[in-house]
Amino acid sequence: MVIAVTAIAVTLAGCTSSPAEGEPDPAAADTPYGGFPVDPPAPDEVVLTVTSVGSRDYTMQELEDRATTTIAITEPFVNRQESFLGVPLAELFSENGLEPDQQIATIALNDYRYTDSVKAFTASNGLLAVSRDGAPIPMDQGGPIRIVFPEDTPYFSFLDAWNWSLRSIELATDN
Amino acid sequence: MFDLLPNRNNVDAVFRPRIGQIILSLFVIVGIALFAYFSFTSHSAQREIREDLYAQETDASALSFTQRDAFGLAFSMAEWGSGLQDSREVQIARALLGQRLGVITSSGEPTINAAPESFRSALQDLDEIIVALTDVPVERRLTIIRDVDPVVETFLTETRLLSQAFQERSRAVIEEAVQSRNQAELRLIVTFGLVGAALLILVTWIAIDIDRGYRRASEMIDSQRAELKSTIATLQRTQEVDVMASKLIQQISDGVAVDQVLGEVGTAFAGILPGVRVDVELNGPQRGSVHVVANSDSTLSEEELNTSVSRIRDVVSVALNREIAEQELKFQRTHDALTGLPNRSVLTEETRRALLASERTGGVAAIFLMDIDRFRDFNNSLGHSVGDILLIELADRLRSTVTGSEVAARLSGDEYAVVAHFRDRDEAVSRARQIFDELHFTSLAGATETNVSVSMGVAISATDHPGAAGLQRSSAMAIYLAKEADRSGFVVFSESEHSALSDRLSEELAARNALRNGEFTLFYQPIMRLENNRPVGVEALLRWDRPGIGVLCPDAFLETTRRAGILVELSEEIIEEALSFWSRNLVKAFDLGQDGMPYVSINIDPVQLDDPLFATFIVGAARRNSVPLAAIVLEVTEHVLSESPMAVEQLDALRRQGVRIALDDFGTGYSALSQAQHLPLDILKVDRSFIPIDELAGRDRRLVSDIHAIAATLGLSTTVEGVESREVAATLRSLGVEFAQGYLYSEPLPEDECINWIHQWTSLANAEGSN
Repeated sequence: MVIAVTAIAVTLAGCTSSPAEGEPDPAAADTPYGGFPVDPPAPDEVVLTVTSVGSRDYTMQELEDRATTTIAITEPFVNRQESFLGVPLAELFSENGLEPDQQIATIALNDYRYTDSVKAFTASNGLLAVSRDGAPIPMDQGGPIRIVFPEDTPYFSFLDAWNWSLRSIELATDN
Repeated sequence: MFDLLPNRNNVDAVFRPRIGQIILSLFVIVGIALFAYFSFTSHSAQREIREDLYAQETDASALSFTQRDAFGLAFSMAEWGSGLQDSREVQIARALLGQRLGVITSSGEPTINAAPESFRSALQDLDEIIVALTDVPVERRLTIIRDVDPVVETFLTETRLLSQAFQERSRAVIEEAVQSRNQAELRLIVTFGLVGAALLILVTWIAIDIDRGYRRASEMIDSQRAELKSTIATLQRTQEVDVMASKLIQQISDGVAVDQVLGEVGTAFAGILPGVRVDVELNGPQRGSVHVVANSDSTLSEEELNTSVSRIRDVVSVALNREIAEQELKFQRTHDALTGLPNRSVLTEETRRALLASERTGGVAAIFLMDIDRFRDFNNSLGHSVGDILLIELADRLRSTVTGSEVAARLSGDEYAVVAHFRDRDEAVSRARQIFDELHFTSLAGATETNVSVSMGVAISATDHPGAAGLQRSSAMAIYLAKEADRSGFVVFSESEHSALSDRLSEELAARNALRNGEFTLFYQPIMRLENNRPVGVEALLRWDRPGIGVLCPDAFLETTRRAGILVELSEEIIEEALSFWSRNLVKAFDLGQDGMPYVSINIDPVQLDDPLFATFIVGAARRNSVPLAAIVLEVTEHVLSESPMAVEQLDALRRQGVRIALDDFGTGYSALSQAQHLPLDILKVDRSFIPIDELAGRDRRLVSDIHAIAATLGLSTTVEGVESREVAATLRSLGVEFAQGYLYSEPLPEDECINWIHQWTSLANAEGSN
């Protein structure tokens, strides 16, 4: 079995036209983040789409440019002190016309979906983080963008609301 | 004494906490505190666990998400093979799985560690393929997919098997949580059980104690009630005993016979005291002894029994005391207090009995009446107390002398008698003579030996004798005769011999009897100071309240008393009585501050002044009656002063000691004012014969004026007698006469009326003075 896999891998490697710099190292799977490095998104790549009455895309660069809010917390998934820089969700909701009582769904790249009211996110000062400890958030560590909450807020301990690798925010439908 | 109301003692009796209960209560309190503490800590622990679970991914949920992302990766592979996704999307799916596997779960380890080794190995194999993926054409991708399908399938199989691992991890976590919760609950249950058990024991214990205490308190109250009931019954019985005792004592007081009362005592008290027999000795030497016996069924306490016995004995004691008092009274009524001999009433009764015996059996009844010769002299010289000793000595001698039916009695003063029944007259005379001789003896009552003798008058009944009174009268005549100078002191009365005794003798005898019977009395006439019209003293005036005749003045009997030889004795009695009156009443009736000390003025007979012991007697009488000598005025006549040097000498001696001497009836005798200056005088009393009733004028006025002037010259004050009008009194006052007495002010009055008169007069005088 190991031999077969190795053979396939050799074959596949032979097929790779342009292996990216910093090719993922399977050994990194032993890291706390289960490592599988993936290239970060390009600055002009749309990383977030917010859909309410209309729809608006946000590129990585755009979000990084707007990221002015920093919170330092003990990240609950890895139990480690980390500092996140990002854009307050309330700002995004506001500029997209989302009302506090409206239900929205946050959807990740792997289609993880969490639905709640706008005010639930804003009440806990939700932040759309674009960098961690001064560096882009790797894809295998919840990046490139993710929702975090400051400590001492209701949703800090409510992990379902922490959506990693966020891809879109939209009004939730009844069904 | 009895408190049926709730109080601290009763409450204590109902319930008093025990040390064990207190300890148990503390244990319960501590247990409850521990229970609360454990509940709180358990709740806190649960909450912390829950919050930790919320804040961290549990192994189970992490594996669940891992399974999801693993299937998502496999799906991306398949999509890549179909050309629907590019290799970057597959790698991103792998990256997201990597993110998932890097999550630190609640067990403190990365999720990857919770996955079995086979899964990690399969993932590693798959990673090699994913790393090598490139976006080749679709046809080629299908080939590659087929080639790597075993690796993918293995990965999918391992992914599916993650559920089993998830379950094992979840079960372990749950078991751990359940175990932890079970331990906490067990701790709580054990604590609750211990506390509950302790509380149950405590409540049960206290309830039992309260129940016992209540019963004990009930018993105590019942006992107290019973005791109270018994006490009330005792008090009621005690009250009934007291009422019965009072009733019996009242009967005794009302004069019911002592024997009758004593006879009722037993029945009366036994009716009140249940189960008790009361006996009172009525006869014999133990008369009055009380025997109280309580039966075995008696409910009386010893204290109540003793109290009742005490009350019964009180009644008996009162009865016996009355009996003794009656006997003493009877004895006092029939006996002389000084000598203990029977008195005159017994003598009279015994005389009747002797007469009756003589009539019934023949023979004679005889009375031997006797008195002590010169007893008055003995009394005056040695004093009455020594005289009393002599009287007792003679009585003892007489008591030892009489025999058989003879009864000795003391009649009065030094007068004794013996009455008896004899066979005949000769025997009676012989026996009288024998007793007469026995009563001549030498007494040591005084400081020196004194020869004592008696005079005896013997009266013997005859056939036609007029009874006991007659026999006593005969004996009195006989002793009167025996006192005659020529007699031997022993006279047997003979009817034939003495029938010739004159009425004079009878009068003299009556006077003697009057003296003995206390028929002589004193009246008092106030003496006034004319200057302020207020009394200064009284003159004592002798009266004989003679039975059947009335009150007689001295003029009517003085000569008789002199002949009867009782004048001196009578005069001495007058002095004693007048001085006694002064201290008993007169001095108290006067306002000593305003009127000075009153005086009593006493008339002295010349015979008294012949007695060389007269002055001694006056001083002694004053001392005996607590009368100052300055309060005594002795009134004498001119005749005395002119003829008796001894009288002058004695009066002078008395005057030197403070007694004042008044010359009475001045002007009626051999008045010689020229001689008055040589006499011991203080007061000149002008006889009433000089004083007219209505007016003092002319020659009478000049005479009185001259007398007063001469008296004043001699240093004498003047008292005018017989003043009966205001005019005369005014004239005397104008002449400067100091004192007056007469009917204008008051006639001579009995002592009570005299005192009343003084009170009224001084009250009026004070009222007029204040007006």
